[in-house]
Amino acid sequence: MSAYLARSKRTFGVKAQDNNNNSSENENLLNVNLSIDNEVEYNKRNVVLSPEASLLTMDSISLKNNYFECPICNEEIFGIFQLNNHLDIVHTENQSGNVILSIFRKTQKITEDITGAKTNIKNVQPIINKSHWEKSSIDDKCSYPECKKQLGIRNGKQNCYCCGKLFCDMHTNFSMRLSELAKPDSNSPNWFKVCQSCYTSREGYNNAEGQHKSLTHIFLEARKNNIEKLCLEENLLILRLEKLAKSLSVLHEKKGVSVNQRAIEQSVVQWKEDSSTYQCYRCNSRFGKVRNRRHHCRLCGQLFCNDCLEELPLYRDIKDETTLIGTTKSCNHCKRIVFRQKEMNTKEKLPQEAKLYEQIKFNQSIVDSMLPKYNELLLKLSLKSSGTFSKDSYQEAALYREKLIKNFHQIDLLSKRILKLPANSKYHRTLQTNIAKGSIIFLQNNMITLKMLPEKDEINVINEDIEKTKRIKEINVAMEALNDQYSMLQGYYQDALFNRKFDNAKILEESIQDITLEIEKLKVELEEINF
Amino acid sequence: MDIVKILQTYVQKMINNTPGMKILLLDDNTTQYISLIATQSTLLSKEVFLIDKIENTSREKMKHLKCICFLRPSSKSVQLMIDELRNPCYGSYYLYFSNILTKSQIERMAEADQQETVRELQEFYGDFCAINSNFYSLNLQNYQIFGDSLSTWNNETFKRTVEGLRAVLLALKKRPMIRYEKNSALGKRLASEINYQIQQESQLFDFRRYDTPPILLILDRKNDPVSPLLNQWTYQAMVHELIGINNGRVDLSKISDIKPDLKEIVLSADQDVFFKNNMYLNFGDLGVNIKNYVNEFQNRHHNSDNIESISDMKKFVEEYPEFKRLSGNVSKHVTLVSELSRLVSQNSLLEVSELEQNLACVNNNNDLKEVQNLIKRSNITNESKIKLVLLYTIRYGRQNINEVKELVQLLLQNGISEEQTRTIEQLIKYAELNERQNEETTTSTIFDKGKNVFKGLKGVENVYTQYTSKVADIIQSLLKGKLKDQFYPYIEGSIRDRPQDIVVFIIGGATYGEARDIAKLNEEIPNVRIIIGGTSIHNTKSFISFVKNATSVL
Repeated sequence: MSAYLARSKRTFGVKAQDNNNNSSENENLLNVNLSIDNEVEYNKRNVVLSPEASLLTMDSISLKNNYFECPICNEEIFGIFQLNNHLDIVHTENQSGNVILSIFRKTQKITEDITGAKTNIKNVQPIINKSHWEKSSIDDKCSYPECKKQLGIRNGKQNCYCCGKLFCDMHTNFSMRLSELAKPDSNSPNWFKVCQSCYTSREGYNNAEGQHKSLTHIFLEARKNNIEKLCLEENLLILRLEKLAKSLSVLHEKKGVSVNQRAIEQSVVQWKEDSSTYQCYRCNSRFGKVRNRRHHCRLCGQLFCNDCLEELPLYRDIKDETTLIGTTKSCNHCKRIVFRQKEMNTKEKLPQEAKLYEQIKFNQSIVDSMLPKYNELLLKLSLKSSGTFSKDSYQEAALYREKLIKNFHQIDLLSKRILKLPANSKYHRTLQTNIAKGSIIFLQNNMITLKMLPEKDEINVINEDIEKTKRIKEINVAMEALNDQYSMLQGYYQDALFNRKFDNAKILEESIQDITLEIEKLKVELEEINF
Repeated sequence: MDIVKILQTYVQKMINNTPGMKILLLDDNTTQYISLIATQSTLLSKEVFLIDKIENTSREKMKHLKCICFLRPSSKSVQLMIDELRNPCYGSYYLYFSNILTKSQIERMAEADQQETVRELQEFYGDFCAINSNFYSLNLQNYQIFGDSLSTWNNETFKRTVEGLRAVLLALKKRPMIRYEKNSALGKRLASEINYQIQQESQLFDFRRYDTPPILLILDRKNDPVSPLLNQWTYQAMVHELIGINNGRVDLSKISDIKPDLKEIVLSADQDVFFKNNMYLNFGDLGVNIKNYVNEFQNRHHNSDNIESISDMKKFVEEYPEFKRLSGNVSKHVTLVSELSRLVSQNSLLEVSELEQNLACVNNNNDLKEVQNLIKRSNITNESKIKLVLLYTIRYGRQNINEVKELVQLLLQNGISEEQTRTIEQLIKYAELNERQNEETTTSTIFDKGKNVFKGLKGVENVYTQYTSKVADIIQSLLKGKLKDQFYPYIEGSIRDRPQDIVVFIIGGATYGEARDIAKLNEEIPNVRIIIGGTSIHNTKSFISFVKNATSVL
């Protein structure tokens, strides 16, 4: 019986909304099931009902316990609302509307018998804000973008509990936990039907960002501790190196005087006894009397085999490479530590392709900043293509375009120059070709798709404009030429006066007058065009 | 839950954080991961001008480059990184590791970084191959899965699998409830280890609360040996079955007189719209689409032929890059599809497949006779013949072991070596076919009987694709709340609510066919998201050699 009850409640919740525009099939339900609006009424009435009154209606044990058995899978579920949800979610796919309807008809009678129980059921239903719900009307369409199905008995009609809009069954086949204020809340105990948009747009649902963990601070901390220790060792070794260099340079100066070099070296650091070990300190290879002989590192004094020892340059001043005075031997480890700072501070000369690439990047950044502006202008132009747009924006666009093309050209040139650079290794060659490839991709993405300016016949207004600008350009060119001539003639004229060749001067004066006339003419025309 | 996008976001984050000329250093593993999801041109446009392997010791010093390293924290890669830091080739280092580093690994690297070149150290959990948006693989095809018996893991592979699956969960940001197949010892061990790992790394696994916890479903290949044995008829699956997809690349060099630029082609749903739209379509629909594609191309080509006015020219120039891309793509797919159809007709795959599907889906009295007929035919490959006997064994072997013996004899008579016929015994061992005799009433039978009855009512759309993989059935019953705890227990706790996110992992490898079934489910049921993957990806060939390897340890 509890199962039947549950079934009827379900129909109550879901089908009731179809009543507004449904067929005769549902007419007999009308007296039992009320529309959503009436539901609210019921809720109000519940409040008025005294607890005794509701107790009177509790005639079944199942109701008291509020446990229901699902009529389909016999699962026990707490509360009728959750059962309703369970039925919606788990058993929707298999059941066609007719099956539900037949179950409904069977149960209808029983429902009528215990309509009083409804008040009890209501207490189980969680409270949720429905004030934002879209009101149902006869002609509703699904609110899901691109769906627009007519809502009704065929496609269903359901408010999304979250956003409140009306949707078809297909687009409300989603459930989410919602708070009493109808907001997504994973801590809420209650599930509600929601629409696809609310379901997919909730926070974190479409997150493409995977988990990550930064260990940088741990790493830097560990490195700092290590470097501090290292610095102590470094200082010690540098001191030894300087001492060694000093003593040995003295040795070099006193040429001929026999000073025991070994004694000097041993004065810097205590050498390990030959008999103390049979193995290389680094690679653990065994020493022999003839083969694989023992060698001392001049900085730490440990014993190494020949392969583990490196040549160590000695400078009078460690910071100045020109003061090289000789070499000695040290282990790999000491050498690295002694020259650590030096290695860190030496700057490799920037290769040519890197310099050129800097320029390419500069040009690219100009393009990146100009391109959106240009496209915006174009959009404006195309919107106004009916004919009445300002020539300023056209000229501006043309200017932008010119600049863009210039930059593209520059990038192209630079990348070609990079390709022509000499490469001292295969590795460099790959780097160069890849830089060039990268700039070609940049050009492909930006230049080839660079939109053309609107067509001439599309915009007659512009045509005139172009004519004008053309003429202005011509005039300017002519003016320049005339001005050049003018100054030249002036020079000749002065010359002639100076040399007292008055005949020539007279002719020159005439031509100067001609030219000034011509210039005046052009000036007038230019002013006419501009206004 | 788009696994490709997640990896791409990782890569973008690595690259975008450091402007300037860069080199990307990878190891053997991460090279495979990256090559599936990023193209050279996307990397070039982000100023990554060199890509190299950390294993390469002949790299040159280029201090003006910044170095981005994406490595798997295997002991080998970490050691190589330490050597690199001792003697740095590049100006500064940005280290990203694809899995969890141990404390000592961090300390050793910090100690090696005496020149203070490291600027960044992060864990980005992209420790798997993202093949499709809902299909991943741990790429363990070269690992031996089993230890000293079929119910124990090989220790190294186990560790690697746990790390890989853990990374999948971290990348997806899922802290799941874990379910496994009751009869799989391997599954149980993996499930409890993953559960333990999640608790160990509870700080990492601290995600926002879900409405309902996601489910991690750990399955075992041995419970579904059928899927990897069937001929596939959807585009992506078919290419892998007949030619083979290796890291998103297809080797076509064996085709006679092929153009040099088509010798190796890339199939990527991310960069190739045609492939994206057709990868899950069956061969018939694909044929129609490829014809339309060619027509579309020809129309464009025709248009570009008669350039008369300047505006035509302008249009042409603007559309040219698109046009060029299209022409390359058209010839790629046409070549591929024609090769597929050549293989189908050459090996009579349609007939073979029809029988395969019948063996996989319905009991039929003529099956034995038909298998025998096909074994006698000469235009059917040995591989197909063995496959048919294998499928026959899986369906009828329990009752009619004698018939199987007869079929093996027949195989031997038709020029198939004894070595090859041994596969049948091996499969019986691997899939524990003999132990299943008393289990017919439980869900662990390989063929779901109820399903077939249901199918019969609905009618069959296509004879060659009537079989749906077992994993799709399992997911469907999971969604209906019908997946019994008895056979698919939780490792800890249990949950009543219908799951919204499901991650499937198949020990022993998944197939493209399964990936396609899952993709279809994702499309049909929009309120749930499913991602599938496995230790590797199988086609018939790799599956048979996997079974051979598995049983060889015994």
